[in-house]
This record gives sequence, C-alpha cells and structure tokens, in this order.
Amino acid sequence: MREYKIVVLGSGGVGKSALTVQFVQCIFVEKYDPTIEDSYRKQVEVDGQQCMLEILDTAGTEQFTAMRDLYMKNGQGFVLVYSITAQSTFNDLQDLREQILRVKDTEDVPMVLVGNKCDLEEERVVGKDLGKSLANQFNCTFMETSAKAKINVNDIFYDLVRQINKKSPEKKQKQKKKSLCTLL
Amino acid sequence: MADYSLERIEEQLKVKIGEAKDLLTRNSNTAAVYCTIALDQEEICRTPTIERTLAPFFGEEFEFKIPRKFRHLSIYVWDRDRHLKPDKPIGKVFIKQQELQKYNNKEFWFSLIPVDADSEVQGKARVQITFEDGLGYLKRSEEYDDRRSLETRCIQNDYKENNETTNIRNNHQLHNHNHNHNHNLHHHKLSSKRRNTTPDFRKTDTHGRVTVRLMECLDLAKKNGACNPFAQITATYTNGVKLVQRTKVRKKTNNPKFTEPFSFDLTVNNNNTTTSTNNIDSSTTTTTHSQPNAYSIYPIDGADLNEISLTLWHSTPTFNGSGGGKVFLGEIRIPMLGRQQQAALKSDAWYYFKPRSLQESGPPGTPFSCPSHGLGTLRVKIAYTALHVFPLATYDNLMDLLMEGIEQKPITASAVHILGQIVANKTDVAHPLVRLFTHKKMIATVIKQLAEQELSELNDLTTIFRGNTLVSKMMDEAMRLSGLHYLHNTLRPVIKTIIQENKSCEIDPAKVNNKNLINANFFNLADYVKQVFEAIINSGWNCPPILRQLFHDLRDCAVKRFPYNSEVRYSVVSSFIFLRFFAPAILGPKLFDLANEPLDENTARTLKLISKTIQSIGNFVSSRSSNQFNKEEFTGELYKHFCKETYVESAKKFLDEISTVTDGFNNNNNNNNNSSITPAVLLKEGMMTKKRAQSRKPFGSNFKQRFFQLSTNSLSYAKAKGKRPTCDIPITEIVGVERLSNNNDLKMQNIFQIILRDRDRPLYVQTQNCVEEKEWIDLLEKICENNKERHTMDHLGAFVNGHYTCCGRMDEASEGCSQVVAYNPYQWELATTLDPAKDLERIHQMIWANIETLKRIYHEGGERLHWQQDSSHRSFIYPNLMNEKTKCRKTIFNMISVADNLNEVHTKCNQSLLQKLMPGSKEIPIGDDNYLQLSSMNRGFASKRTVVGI
Repeated sequence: MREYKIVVLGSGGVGKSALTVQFVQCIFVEKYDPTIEDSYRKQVEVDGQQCMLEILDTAGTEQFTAMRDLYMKNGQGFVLVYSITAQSTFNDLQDLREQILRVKDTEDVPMVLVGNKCDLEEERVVGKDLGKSLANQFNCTFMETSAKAKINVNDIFYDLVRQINKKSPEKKQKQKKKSLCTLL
Repeated sequence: MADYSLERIEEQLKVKIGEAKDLLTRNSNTAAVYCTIALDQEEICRTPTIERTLAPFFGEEFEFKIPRKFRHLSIYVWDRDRHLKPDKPIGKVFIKQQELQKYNNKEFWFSLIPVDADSEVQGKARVQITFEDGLGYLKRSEEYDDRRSLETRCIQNDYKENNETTNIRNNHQLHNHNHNHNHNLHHHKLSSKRRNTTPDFRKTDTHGRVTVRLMECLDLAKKNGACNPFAQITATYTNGVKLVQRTKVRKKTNNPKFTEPFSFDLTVNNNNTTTSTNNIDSSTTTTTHSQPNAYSIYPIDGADLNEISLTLWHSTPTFNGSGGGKVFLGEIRIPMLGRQQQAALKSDAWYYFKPRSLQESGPPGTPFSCPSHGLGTLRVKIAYTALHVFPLATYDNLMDLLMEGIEQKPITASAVHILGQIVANKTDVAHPLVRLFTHKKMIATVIKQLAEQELSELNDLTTIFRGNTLVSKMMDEAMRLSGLHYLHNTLRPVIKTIIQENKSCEIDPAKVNNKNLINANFFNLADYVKQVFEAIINSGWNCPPILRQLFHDLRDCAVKRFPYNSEVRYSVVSSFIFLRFFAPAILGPKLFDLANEPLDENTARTLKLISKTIQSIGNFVSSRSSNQFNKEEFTGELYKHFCKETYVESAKKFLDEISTVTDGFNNNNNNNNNSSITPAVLLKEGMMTKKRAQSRKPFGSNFKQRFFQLSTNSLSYAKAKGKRPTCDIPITEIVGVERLSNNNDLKMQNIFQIILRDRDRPLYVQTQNCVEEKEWIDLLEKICENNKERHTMDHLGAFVNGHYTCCGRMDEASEGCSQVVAYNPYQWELATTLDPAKDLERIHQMIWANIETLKRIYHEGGERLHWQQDSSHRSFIYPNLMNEKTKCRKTIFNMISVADNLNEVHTKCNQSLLQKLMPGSKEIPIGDDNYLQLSSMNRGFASKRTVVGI
C-alpha cells in the first residue's frame, strides 16, 4: 500500500487540528488545545485504491517553527489553512508557501489552500474571491471548509492524494529493479 | 550636531545552513559531511557531521556579531577524515561582504564553487610606483590625485575582473590566460582609439621606465599554518610579451616586507624580448612569449606596457629531495596602459589582493537549485545587518516620540502601534521595541496598553493572544530578554539529565517495533515529565519581577474583558508561560541555550513528547471540560496520569504566583536572598588556550588548552569539560581586560589578557577566532565596569538603567546597601545586553524603509489603506473617531520628520567619512568594495532625501 506524507500548516487557532481530527477520527474537537506536533495515520480508499495517509498536524505558534524545515523536507503534500474570520492568518500563508517551495526546490508541490470556519459566515473577514485569487496565484486547489459542520473536510485530503498521484505516479518498476540487484 | 567620529558600526550575521544536495564526493556510504562558516579565511563556526548521505540535512542556525572588517563570507562543505588524511573541501559558497544584504533573510540554493588555492585569497599590500621618462627625470604622479578618476578606476578594475572571470573557465594555464588578455586588450585598444581618448602616448613614453616596489604585505593567508612568501612581478605588454621578476623568499611571516625595486621599460621592442637589465641579488627575470603576435596592433615598432601584476606565492619546502612547490596567495593587477592610466596611479598606495581566476559563481543564489558546477548545492538563509549607530543623544527625538504615545489614549495613535501595523514582520519590530521599553522601565505599561486594545477587538475567547500580533510577539521577546536566566535555572539541570541518560521514551505503538517495550518507555517518559513539571511549578517565586508584572497585567486585562469566564485568568497566563516559553524551550533546547550539543533522534523525540505533555497539562488547568479528549490516541494514558487534582492544583498555584506583583522593590530583600542562594548563572563557556601569570618561562612556551567557564560568580578553567576546575577566580578579582594587537610579542592572534587584582602578571588567553574573542572580551569588560563601580561607590552593584544592580534602589544618591551579595543575575544580564542606541537605529531604519507608505497613510484618509508589498497584501487601519484619527496623523507626521532628520545625520556623516577616507590608504586599499558601496550609498541617501519632504 502506498504511503502519503501530508503536512497541515497555518497560523495559530485557524483549526488545523480540528480539520485533521475531524478527518481521522470523525470528531469535532470543542476544546482548544494548541498543538506542538501531532501525527496521525489513516487508511482511505481514493479512486479505488487503498492509501495510507500519514498526516502531520503542526504548531501554529511561531516559537516552534524551527522544526518546519524538516517536515517540509519530508512532506509530500501540504494543506495551507487560514481562518476566514482573521485576515492576518490569510496573510501569513505567503511566507509559508515560499518556504515550502524553497525547501522542496521546485515550483510544483502538491498543495491545497483551505479557508476554514466557513460556518461562521457572519464573522467573515476574508472573502471567498480573495481565497480563490490566492489559490490562483499559488497555482493550487482552493476550498472553504468547516471542521465543525463537516464541510469539505475529506475532500481536502482526497484532492491532495490525487495531486500526489498525478505528480509522482507509483513506480513499480523501481522495486523490480531493486530485487534484480539483490539477485545479482 | 552629532560628532560623526563617535559613530560605530554594528554588524550582525545570522546564517542558517539548511541542507545540501547532490554532493560530488565519495559514495553515500562513506561520506561524512560538515560545513564551516568563515569570515575571509578565518573559521568561525561549524555544523555537526552528517554521515552516509550525499544530501545531508543540517538545519543549524548560527548568529554572531562581526568584530572586525571582513571582505567575504564563505561557507565550506567538507568531507571528513579519509584515513588520516586532512578533510577535503567539496566546495564552497562565496559571498562578498557588500552582497550579503541582498540575501535579506530569505533562503537560497547556492551552487557550490570549487575550493582551490587560486580563489582563497586575503590580505593587502603597499605598492610604490615611480615613472621615469626618457628625458631622465622622475615623474611623481601623485599631483594628479583626482579622487573621481580613482573611483572610476576602481570600478573599472572590478569590472575587468568580472569580465575576465566570465571568459576564463576552469583553466588556470598561463597561455590561455594570456590569450584572453590579449583578446580583451585588442578590443580595449580599438575602442579607446576610436573614441580618441588616449592621445598619442607611444611617442612620449618611448624610453620611459617604471619602477615598482612592494613595500609590505599584511595578513596573507597561511597555508597549513605556514607562510613563506615571495613575490613575482610581471609586466605584460600589449603584444602579449610578459617580463617576470621575482623576490627572495621571506621565511615564516604572513606580513612580509619586500623592498627590492623592480624596473620595467614602458615599451619593448617586439624583436628584443629578452630585455633584462635588472640584476638584484637572486632575482630573476624571465620572458614569456605566449602567443604569436596575431593580436598585436603594433608589430613594427614594439609594444607598450599594459599592466603590472604582483603575485604572491607561498614557497613550500622540499620533501625527500622532491622539489618544493608554490601555492598561490594573491594577486594585484595594476593597469598602466598609456599616460592617462599611468597618471591616475598613486605613487604609493595600498591594494587588496585579488583571486587569480575567480570562478564564475553562477547566479549568486537562486530560489531553486541549478546544478551548474556539479559539485552540489547548499540551501542557506542569510540575514546580515550593518547599522551605523550614533551616540544615544542623537536619537532623543525618536525616543521621545516612541515613549510619549503609550500613556495617552488611544494607543492606536501611538508610534509603537503604527510601527506594528506598517512593518510586515512583527518580530522585527518587537525585538528592538521590547529592549527599548525594558531599558526605559516601561515595558509593562506598553504591553498592557497594546493588550487592552487587542482584547477590545477580540470576540472569541479561545483564540486569546494566539495570533502573531504585536502583543504576542512583544511578550515572546520580553520573556526571552528578561526570563532567560530564570529559564536556565529552572530547566537546565533536568534537561541535562535527559540528554545524558538518553533513555527510550517512545510510546506511540506505530513507532515501536517491540510492543513489550512500551510499558518501560511509558515509565521513563512519565518520570521525565514529572521531573520537568515539578521543576517548573516550584520555580514560581524565582520568576523575574518584570515578567510577573506582565502576567499580572495581562490577566487583569483579560478578566476585565471576559468577566464571566472563570478559566480565562489561567488560560491567558498559561498560553504565554507554557505554550510560548517552557514548551518551545524543552522542544528546542539549543535555541534557548539550554544545551550546546546536537541532539540525536531519540532525545529529540523524547523532548518532543515531554514538551507536548507539559503544554497539555498547562492547557488542561485552564480549560477543564468534563470529557478530556486526546487528539493522538496513545497519549491518553499519559495525560490521564498527569491530569489529576494534585497536579492541577499545583499548576494553578504556580500560575497565581507568577502573576502576582510583589510590591515594588520592597520585596527586593527577598529577591536578593534568593539570588545569593540560587546557583551562579553561567554566562559563557568554551575551549581556549591560556598561559598562567606565575610562569617564569619565556613567552609562548607553556600555553595550554583549557575549558573555561564564566559565571556570575567566577571565571574558572579545567583540563576538560566536566572535569574539576584547576583554577577558580572570583569575578570581583577581575579588574581589567585588554585585547592584544595582532602584532603582539606573542605572535599569536585573537589573544587578550585578563588583569587580576593584587597580581603582577596578567592571564593570557587565546580564543579560536575573532568572534569568540569579541564575545569573551565584551562580557569581561562589563564585569570590570561593574567591579570598578563597586569600588567608587558605597553600593556593591552598579547604577544601571535607573537602578542599582545590587539593591535595586532607583535613586542614584541613595545610601549604599551593606549586604555582601552577588549580582542579581537577572539585572546583571540586562545591563550587559541592552544597547538602546542600536535599537533606536534599528527602529529608524524600519521607519525609513517604510517612509513612502507612511506618507501615503498620512495623505490619504478613509477607514483603511491597502497596499501591495513583496507580493503580499498589507493594510493599515485608521482609528475610528475623528479626533483619534487626527492624533494618529500627527504621530505619522512626527515619525516622518524624525526619520528625515536622522537620515540627514547619516548622509552628513557619510559625506564627512568619504572626505576623510582616501582610497589607496591602509584603511581603504584599492579594490575595497566597501568604499565603493559607501560612496554609492551616499549618493542614494542624497537622492532619496529630495523625495522625502511632505
């Protein structure tokens, strides 16, 4: 079974953990508990194929950013989360994306831009069009979600799996080659 | 007006070495790679070695103040130890000093360039040149001292070098070199002829001669610790003829003096290529006829002198009969084609040595790697700042402007708040602001005001102080600045134990192969968490008063804003002390100076698990809902273990303690008692070489490597780290510290002496590099200052920042305190680290960088202003009320005019500096790019100035 390493990034309090836990355990975490770094594993079926997702839920607090480098290096797909109720969380993503591109050393990185808390329409500060245009600029998928109302949560991760598949199709030949080498 | 001579330059460098890729060295199984950072040729720091990969990940960050002038930063990538052979450099990143600013804290992939002797160059030389024309009298060219022509020549020189660099690739062979030379020349001549800028020089110079003397060299590079230099002087003529003469070898010096004169004809006859009239000692003259004269334009009546180059070589000794070789040390090229160039030369000037054929360095860092040289690439982040800092009084207006706003309402009209809005990176603003307000003893006031404002706009209690706002950033900085010693005293012992024991603590079943181990691991982890937790909750009363004041104020604000929430009084404090202070320190002890050694994977994981648990306990205390939910399943058992009533109560008690203000300084006695009981705080440690004062042996005979530790109590050294100190000197005994110049009697570099009371002879100490030297001397100087103050006053401490460090009394004339206690380490540390003038200069630079934005905000109105900056959207929100808006605009106006005035001081200072500095002097040798940068910067300043006025 193929493994997918997914990293969830964004400022503090945007709902990274809420989205991740909603996806993995189908529970909405009411209580707020700032994350330092959590990792989860979940097996899902995407387009008829079994996949093992390894999801790294990261710290929004900037004190912990020293570790960013390492998980950006190891991650294959990235979820960039902001909250539609806080402008600054939206602005922070530009730097994050730039850092990912530099660490990955390519322009083409599987990525989804996520505007969370879309159930709080009355507190909205960041318009949907702004999100769309940023996604355009990032050349990535965009969706507005709600971990609380369970809107679009699974789609984030499925979309990312498809992007990773598209970018680097599974190489079965390579494994064959390896076994040949050991025979020799 | 400020006295410009009092200006100082503060340079700071932060380098993060991320990772390398595609390294060209042995195969991945045997490779062992590390990096070193060097200023010029001097190694400053190195990363740990990463083994068995050609794509090593370092993730190491280094930050230091630059103590001396330097010309380039190099980052070398090494392959370690191949069977007792010296480590082999794989390649390097090479950046000129004046280009450093371009990398402005962004990450870049650098293609490694080859490390060879030809590019490893440092030092400067004084060269005398005299021309003698055919009529027999000397022409001194210094009358022709036109600054501007020199400047342009410097630029041309640089340009030329670059030009050549692009032409010459991977080839150091002489004939090829000449070929290119000729080629360039050909063009040069043709174009100059066409423009008719060179008059008919051939006729006038027909019989002239030039004499070159290499008076002295300074700071040549040492090769394997030795330097036996000799110089080669080469005259190149327009037809490609080269005449070469050389000096004798000078032994064991990197500051040699060669006074022999070398003369060359200004023109040579094409057929007569063996002109050698110079017969000095063993100096030899050889002629190279490099190319057929295909490129010469004057085949009939000879060729003119085009250039004189001086090349320095290190002569390597002979081994077992095999002939000694030579290693390139540096080269100076002086163009002398025609009268004009000759006249522009100084008869006596200093020159920097240049590389012989600097490889083209590709694009100087790109967002993405491009394998141009095939040696590999290195991802590096560089943040370089150079601040020209004036005496504190120069910044009085700026200081007043920053201070006056914070006690008036509304805070949104204060300069501090406006700065927080316009500067994109909040940390950049928070750092100098916190230091300034701490210096002014107003840090609690300003943070309280800003927090009140932030809370007034907050609706959702759960995300209280969670965003990266000015308040949270300033709190981070304040906790780091004032709480570092507290952190060290609290956590250092337990972190040290954890790192040394290196027990396995993995409790995630997905990460453990042998499931039977989980129980044992769980026990280990729980024990560690308990130790760390207890260390923290027992430290409440050691928390520095300033931090307690801050926590108290924040709690106050939050309770007022959310009076019906019972949890907020704990959550607001815990979200700072646990989430932003203790948890990050446990997770990354190196970032908080809690550990020096690199952490292995196991320890890093253990610390991560502890950090997470501590954070969860801290959070649990404040928000106890009936059903505790665990995000990661395997942590459930652990959290259950700790979320018991006893732990919760003690954590609450701790949070209460650290947010209780002990009544001003009345409680200070208590504090002093504490500080005399608490162990001394370690200020700095490291290996150095020392020579004891008592020794009667001659200099240089008994220097020994020792492990030094400087604490707030004493300076001690031991034979090795962890050994019992063989010598322990109370810091009150230290009365002086003095740097020895590089030309000292001991012939050693980076050496200083410590003068001890009641002892005749000083203690000599040698550090590994100039950065270490500066750090030690800076600390020791502060100690001496404090010691001196102790004697002239009745107080045992010094009066620093408005209070005595001994008793904390705020009146300078207050009678002395009689207690004989050590420094209060916290206040002591503040005194050593604060530099208000520097912080004000940083703030000025920030305002100046955003001056156009400020002007727009001033001129335009409305509710908010949007603008685009570095491809991100930024916006400024005006205060709502009309009179507040007016106040806000007034502040902005003042900010602009203060910045404008300060900028004028900078411009004037630069101008007077430029007038004083002579290119070609020892301080500004020809080829010094800094000088060019300075002059161009000045032009920049001047032109910007005209744009400013409102």
